[in-house]
Amino acid sequence: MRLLEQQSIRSLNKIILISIGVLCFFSLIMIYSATSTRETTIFRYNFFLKQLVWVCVSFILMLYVSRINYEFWIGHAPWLYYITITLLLILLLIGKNVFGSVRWFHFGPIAFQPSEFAKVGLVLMLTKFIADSKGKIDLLEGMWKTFLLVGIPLALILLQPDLGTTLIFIPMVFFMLFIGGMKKRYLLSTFVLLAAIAPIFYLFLMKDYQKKRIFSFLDPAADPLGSGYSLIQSKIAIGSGGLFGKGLFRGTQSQLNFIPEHHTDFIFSVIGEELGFLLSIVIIFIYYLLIMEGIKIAVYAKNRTSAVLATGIVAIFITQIFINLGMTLGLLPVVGVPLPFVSYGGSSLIFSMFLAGILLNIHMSIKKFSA
Amino acid sequence: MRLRIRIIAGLFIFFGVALFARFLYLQVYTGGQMGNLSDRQSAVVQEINAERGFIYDAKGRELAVSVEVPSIYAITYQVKDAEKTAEKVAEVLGANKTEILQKLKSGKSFVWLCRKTEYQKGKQLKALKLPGINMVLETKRFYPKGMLASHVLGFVNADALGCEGLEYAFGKYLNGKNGRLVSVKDKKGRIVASGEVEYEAPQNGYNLVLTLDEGVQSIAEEELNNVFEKFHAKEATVLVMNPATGEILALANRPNYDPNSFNEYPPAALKNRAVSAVYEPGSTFKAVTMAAAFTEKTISESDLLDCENGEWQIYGHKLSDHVKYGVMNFRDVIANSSNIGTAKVGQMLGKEKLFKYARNFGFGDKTGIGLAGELNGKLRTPDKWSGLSIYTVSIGQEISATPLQVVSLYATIANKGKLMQPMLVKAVKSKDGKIVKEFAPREVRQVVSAEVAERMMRVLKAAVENGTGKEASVSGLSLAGKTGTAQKFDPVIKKYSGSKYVASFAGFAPAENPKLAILVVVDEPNASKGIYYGGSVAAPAFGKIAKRALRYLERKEHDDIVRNN
Repeated sequence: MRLLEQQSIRSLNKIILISIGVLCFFSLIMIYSATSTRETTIFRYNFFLKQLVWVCVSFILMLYVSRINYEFWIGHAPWLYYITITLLLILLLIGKNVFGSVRWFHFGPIAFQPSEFAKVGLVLMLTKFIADSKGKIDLLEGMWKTFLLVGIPLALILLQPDLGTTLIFIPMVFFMLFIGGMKKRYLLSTFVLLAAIAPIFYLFLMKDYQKKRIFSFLDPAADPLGSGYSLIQSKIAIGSGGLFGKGLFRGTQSQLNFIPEHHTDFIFSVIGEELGFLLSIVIIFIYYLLIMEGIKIAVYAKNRTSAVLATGIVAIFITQIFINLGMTLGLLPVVGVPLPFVSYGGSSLIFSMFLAGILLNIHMSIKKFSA
Repeated sequence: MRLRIRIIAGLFIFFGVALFARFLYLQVYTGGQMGNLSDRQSAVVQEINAERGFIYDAKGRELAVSVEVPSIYAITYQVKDAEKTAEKVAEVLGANKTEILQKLKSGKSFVWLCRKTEYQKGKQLKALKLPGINMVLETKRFYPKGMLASHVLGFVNADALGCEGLEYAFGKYLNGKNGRLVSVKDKKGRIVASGEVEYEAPQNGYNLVLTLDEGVQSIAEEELNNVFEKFHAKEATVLVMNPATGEILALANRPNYDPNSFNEYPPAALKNRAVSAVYEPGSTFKAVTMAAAFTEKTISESDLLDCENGEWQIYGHKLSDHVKYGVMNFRDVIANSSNIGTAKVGQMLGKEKLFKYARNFGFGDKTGIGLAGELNGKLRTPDKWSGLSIYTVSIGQEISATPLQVVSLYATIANKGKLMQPMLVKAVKSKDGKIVKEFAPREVRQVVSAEVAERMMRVLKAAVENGTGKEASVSGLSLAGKTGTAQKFDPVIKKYSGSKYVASFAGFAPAENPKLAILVVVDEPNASKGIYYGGSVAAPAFGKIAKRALRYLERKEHDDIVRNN
C-alpha cells in the first residue's frame, strides 16, 4: 500500500504540473499589470493577492484530487449533477444581477459561479451515463436520455444567460459521445438538428446584446463604438504589441482601460500587447503541451470510461482556450469565457484545477505510458 | 477509439495552427499599422470647462455671466478635400478662405478654426457634416451691462483666464477647476460612448458679490459721460464710496471699453485710472493741511491769515492765487482755496507733521483694495524735501495720488476721522449660494478725532455754500467738498503747463450725515473756452451725482422696507 502510494506520487504527470504552474505564474504577473492603473494601490494588490490565494488553494486542491481515484467521482456523479441543477435553479431565483445577467453567488467577498461547477458535474455525469449504458446510447432511448441529461443544465445556464459556458458544453458532449462510441451518423444528425434549431434559438431566445455581438463579430466595423468595440480594441491591443510587446505596465490599450474585462476574459489582449508575439506564442505552446498531454492520457487510458472522462476534461480546456483566444483575436464573437488558469477569477481556477486533478489521477491509473 | 481521439487531436492542432497564424498576422504582419492605430486612438483627454463664477452687484444684479458658445476645430488628417472644406467653412463663419486652408494644411493634427463663435454658425456647420470639422461648446464670458463698470470687472481672454480688474484679481475664486474626461475616439474622431475611462467633474468657480451698486454706478457713469464730453477731456474718473464702510458703490473711468469686445479698444482704454493712474491732487489735498492744523492746534477756523494780495515770493518762487485776497480767516482761506494762505499754515505746521498726516490718510501707499496695478502715488519723506516743498505739498503739489486715495481722504473726514479700507468685493459665494468668504468693513486707523472731522466738515460745507465749490450746490441738499485745479507738469518743457489742468472735486453728502463720499476728476478739460477750474468742471458733476445717487438710494431703501413689510 505504501509502495503503491509512493509509486502514484512519482507518476504525477510532470508536464501537466509544470505547464499549469507556468500558466499560473504568467497569470499572476498579467493580473498585476492589468490592474495596476486602478486608482488605489490597495485595489491593485487586492486583485493580485486574491488570485495568489486562489492559485495556492486550487493547486493544493489539484494535488489532493489527483490522489483520489477518479472512479470515486464517477460514482458520486449523480449527486454532483443534482447539486449542479439545484444550484443553477437557486441562482435563477435569487442570484445577483450583474450587467444584465445572473451568474454569481456572493458569499461575502467571494463570488462563486455555479456554471463553473456545472462543468464538473456534467462531465462526470456524462461519463457515468456513457459507462453505464455500454453501447445502448446508440438506441433512440439513449439519445433521448442524453438529450435530457445534457439539455437540462444547459438550458438553465442559457437562461442566466451565459452563452459562453453553454457553448463550451457542446463540443465537450460531442467529443465524449464520439469517444464513447456513438455512431457517427447519430452525431452527424444531432449536429444537423442543432444547426436547424439555431435560427429558432436566435430569433426567439437570444437577448439583443447577444445578437449584436454576433453581428458585430461578422462586421465589427459596423458598430465600432458599441457592440464591435471590445473586438476591435482587443485586436488593436494585440496588434500593437508587435514582436516583443510594449513591456509590462506599458500597454496603452489595456492600461488605459480601452479593453473591458481586461483582467478576466480579455487577459490575453494584455499579454499580447505587453509581452508581444514571442511570449504569446510561448504561452500558446504551453497550452499545446498541456492539451497534448491530456490527449495522450485519453489515448493510453486503461479503459473506455477513463478515456471518455479524460476526453471530456480535455475538451473543456480546448473549447475554453479556443473560444477565449478566438474572441480576443477577433476570430469569434464576444462571449464571456475565461481563459483556463490565466484569467482572473476563483471559481474558474478552482474547477479547472479540480478537473486537472482528475486528469492527473487517470494518468496515474495507466500502467504503461509511453512518453 | 484511439483513432477517434487522434481525430480530436488533429482538430486541436488544426485550430492551434489557425490561432498561431492569427497571432502572426496581427502582431507581426500588421503589427506596425496596429501600433499606429493604437497611438492615434489612444485616450483623448477632453477638458470640461468649469463654469466661471458670476459677478453680481450689491443687490444681486448680474454684471458678468458665463454662457456656452460653440468653438470650431479641425482634425486635419480626417479632412477630405481641404479646398472644398475650407470654402464651406469660410462661407459659414464669414472668414477668409485662404486663412482656413492654411490652418487645415498646417500639418498639425488639431487646429482651432474659430473660437467662441455664434451659436447659429456652429449649428450650420454641424449640419454640413464635413469630415474632420468638429465643434465643442466653450464657455464665454458675457457682460450683460456692456461698458458699465468695465474697469472694475475687467475681462477674460479666449482661454477663459481673467485679465484686468476683478476677473484677474479674484481669478482664484472665479476660475473654478476644469474637469477632465478621458475618452476614446475612433478613427473618425467620434467619441466612443462606451469608451469612457475617467471622469473628473469640473469644480465651478465661485460667484462674487460686489459692493458696487448698479444704480449708483449708472448714475456716476452717465454724469461722467456728460462732463467728459462737454469738456472734451482727455481722461476722467469718478468714485463713489460709502464712507462708513469703505465700500465702493461706483467706479468709472473715461476712456473706457466694452469687456465683451475688449480687443477692439486701445490699451489706454483698459487702464483703471482710479487706482492705476496718479495725478497731483492740488487743492483737494488742502484738507490734509487743514486736518493737521486743527489736530495740532496750529490754527483755528477764525484765525486770520494774510493772503498777500494774490502773490507771494518764497525761495525765488512765485506763489499765486486765482483771486487777489487780502487778510481773511482760515475758514475762508480753505473755502476760497487760497494757495498762499494754506501754504502759510503748512509752514507753521512744519514738514514732519504735514508728512505724518498725509501718511496717516493713506497717501504714498497702496490702499490695498486688491486690484492689480494699484499705484502708491508719490509722497517723498521729509528729508528729501526742498525748502520750497513745505509750501507746495501743503497745497497738493509735488505729490501725486491715485483718485482712490483722494476719495478715501474725504471718506475719512465724513466718517468722523476713521479711515476705512476701500473695498469692492463683499462676499465670495458658491454657486448654490453658500458664503465661501465674506469681507467685513475694516477700519484702518483713526486719523483725526471726530471733533476735528466735524470742524473740517463745516469748513468744507462753507466751501460749497460760498466758496469755490458753489457750482456743486444742489437745492435741498447740504454738501461738503473741495475743488482742485492742478496745473499739469509738462515733461516737454519741464514746467507746469499753462494750458493743461486736472480739474477735480472731492467731498461728501449730505454734509451733516454723510452717506456718500464722491470724487470727480477731469483730466485736461479743453481749456480753450477758459473753463478749467475744478469748481466749474467737476463740481457740477459732483452735485448731480450726489443728488441723484442719494435719491436713488433712499428710494431703494424705501422700496426695500416696503418689500420687507
